[in-house]
Amino acid sequence: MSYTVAFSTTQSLGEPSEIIVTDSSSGSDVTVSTRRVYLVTAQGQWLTENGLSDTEAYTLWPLADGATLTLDVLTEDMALWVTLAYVTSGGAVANGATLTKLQGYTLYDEDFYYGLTQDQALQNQPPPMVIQDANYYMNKMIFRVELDSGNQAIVYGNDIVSAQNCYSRATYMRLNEGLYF
Amino acid sequence: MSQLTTIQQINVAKVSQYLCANEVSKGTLFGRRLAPSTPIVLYMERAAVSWMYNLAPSNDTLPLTGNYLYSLCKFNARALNIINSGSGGSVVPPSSGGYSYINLVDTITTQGSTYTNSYFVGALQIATMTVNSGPLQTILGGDFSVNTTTGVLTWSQTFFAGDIIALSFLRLL
Repeated sequence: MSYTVAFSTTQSLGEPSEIIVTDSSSGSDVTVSTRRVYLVTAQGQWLTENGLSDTEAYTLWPLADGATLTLDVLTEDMALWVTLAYVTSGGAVANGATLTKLQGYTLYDEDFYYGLTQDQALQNQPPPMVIQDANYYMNKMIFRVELDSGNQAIVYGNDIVSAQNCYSRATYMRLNEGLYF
Repeated sequence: MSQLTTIQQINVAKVSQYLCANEVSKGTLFGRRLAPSTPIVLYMERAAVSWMYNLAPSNDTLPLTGNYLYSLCKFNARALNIINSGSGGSVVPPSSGGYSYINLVDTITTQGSTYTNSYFVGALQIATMTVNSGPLQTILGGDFSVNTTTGVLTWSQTFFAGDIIALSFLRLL
């Protein structure tokens, strides 16, 4: 018997740098010795907690470590190819037990976006109100559209490059909030 | 009326958004009625509140942002009524003292002198009825009666299957 690989990934509020991987695979295989998690960026680099690498890099996830793995890898929002593979002691994928998904991680920018709404709510009595700033709403809308577009590039297009471009434009606005908000 | 929950506020914002969009559109003909950016703003703010609600429904900032979102909504009573009459939520409008305006258009399916619709329960000021049976007819109020408890309309003449019936009236919320 072999493993049927299944997994999901999430992020937790307040920890935008972390990706939480939950393994829901089923089956068994005596040739499997461990698991590996690969994260690949839109630029084709491998991402681990040690940073980006131009050569293959992965995170080892021993079977004994349970069904949940937290990876502290993000410094900004990213689209990533995430692969979970069950491998043999020689490092080969065991009987095809591998699964790859394209995922978007947007907690940095979504949290910032929510913060804008919080600021508006707190300034609901004038003066001054941020919404009166020139182009505030236009820029906020652009920011929203970039995030939505990135998500749609993943869901509908399976397109990591387009998704990352959208997320990166939103990140630029977030990092230069003084110019836009 | 009790305080709306965050999900109720989000649902009101969803309905208010399209009501505002329609109202802005009407302004191109009859003059500006509403800031044209209103539906866009509602979308943007709802997106933020929905995101937090989906991620952490008990987050302690949600009352602040949810109330702010609700304060931006227009046509709130109408939105609540739309949500209640559909399957979109469980918002409870005021139990008394409020009215909604009903434009009822329906097709008669069974021949006879009566027509039943639950919208008639609690209805007020049903003055006229229009029945389109071949040539358009307008029927005065004296020719029909409505039991606003059972929701049964009784006409002095006969409805035929396929007739279109139309009435406008107020209804207690």
